[in-house]
Amino acid sequence: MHASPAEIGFSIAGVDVLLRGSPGAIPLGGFYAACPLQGRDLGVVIDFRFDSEMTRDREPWPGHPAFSQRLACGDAVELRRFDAEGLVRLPGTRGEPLRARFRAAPKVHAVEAAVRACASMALPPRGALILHASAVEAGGGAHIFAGVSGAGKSTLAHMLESGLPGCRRLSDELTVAAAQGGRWMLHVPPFIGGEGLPHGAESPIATLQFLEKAPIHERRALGAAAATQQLLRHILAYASHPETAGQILDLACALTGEVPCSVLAFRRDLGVANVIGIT
Amino acid sequence: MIEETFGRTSHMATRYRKNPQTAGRIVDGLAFVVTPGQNKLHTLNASGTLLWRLARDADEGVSLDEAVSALVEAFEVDEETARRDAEHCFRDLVEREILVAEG
Repeated sequence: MHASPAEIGFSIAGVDVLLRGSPGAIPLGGFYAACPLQGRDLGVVIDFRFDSEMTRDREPWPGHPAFSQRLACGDAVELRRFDAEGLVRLPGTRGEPLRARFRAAPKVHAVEAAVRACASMALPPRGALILHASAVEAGGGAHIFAGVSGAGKSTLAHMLESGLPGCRRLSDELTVAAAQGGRWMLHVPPFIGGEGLPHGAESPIATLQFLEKAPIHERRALGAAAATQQLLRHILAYASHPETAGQILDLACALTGEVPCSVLAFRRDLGVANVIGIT
Repeated sequence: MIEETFGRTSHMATRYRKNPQTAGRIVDGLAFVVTPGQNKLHTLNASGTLLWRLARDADEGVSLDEAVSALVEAFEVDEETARRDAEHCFRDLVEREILVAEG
């Protein structure tokens, strides 16, 4: 953990985030410096204010690390977990930023968990979703591997990168998929836990695959409904607000309608590359 | 007799509407509904999707009788079966806060 200035600006898939706190209080753990502010016409999209509270540095509650959430008055959402609590005000108009104010333990995970939750609400109106997924780039396109914890997302991405020349690991755990200029792009977000990743890189999405461990390698194409159902399980979503939920559903339907989706059953050997089609 | 009349009157007047706090979309004939209060995703079956769509599309909501007629027409089942399915389905959708019952 490093002491930090009172204000840090960075970008998640082109969405500018301003993280503010008292001088020296913002614990830096992400790779924010790798993704500087874009300064696009949108201006700051997430205005995140953080107040450090030592008393919140405590043991996780059951259900850690997810936030509990509830709608507060107006367009605000209250988020709470064992080490952080805050209020997120969704933009009333398109030009306004999402404003968040959190009290959190002075820990990188506490602050970034809150930043991620805010991003999950701010990105959908800009056509982007955060997925629980790893990804690799091969042949000029990104292959996304979504799955629950323990499904092998990170294992698969590492194995493909180390075993296939020209294959580059893009993410291990969290990936941003964004609709841009008539196609879907993958963005590598600057989150913690992404050592050795090309933060800020982007690549056109070639396939979206949902992982299953199995004794054999097999890839089964999914229809739109099955793919949407699978995808919705792997989106980081704090959708207390119906409008946010609707935006997430629209984007999920669009993504599964435009990108080939399949279930990828695999065991831990490089033969899976043949099934994916990236040899 | 009076109770029965009141009961029937009350039941007949019930209309089911989309919970305004939810968001839903239909993909390939199946409805995906998010109940934001719980941040929960519900995937409805074919009959659930039909009733949800009727409730969503009609400003005044849908009644049990209207739902029964729609199920009979869509799935070619007899009226008794359709009524049983509709009652069960509406009860489930209301419990899950996907629809609200009014009247």
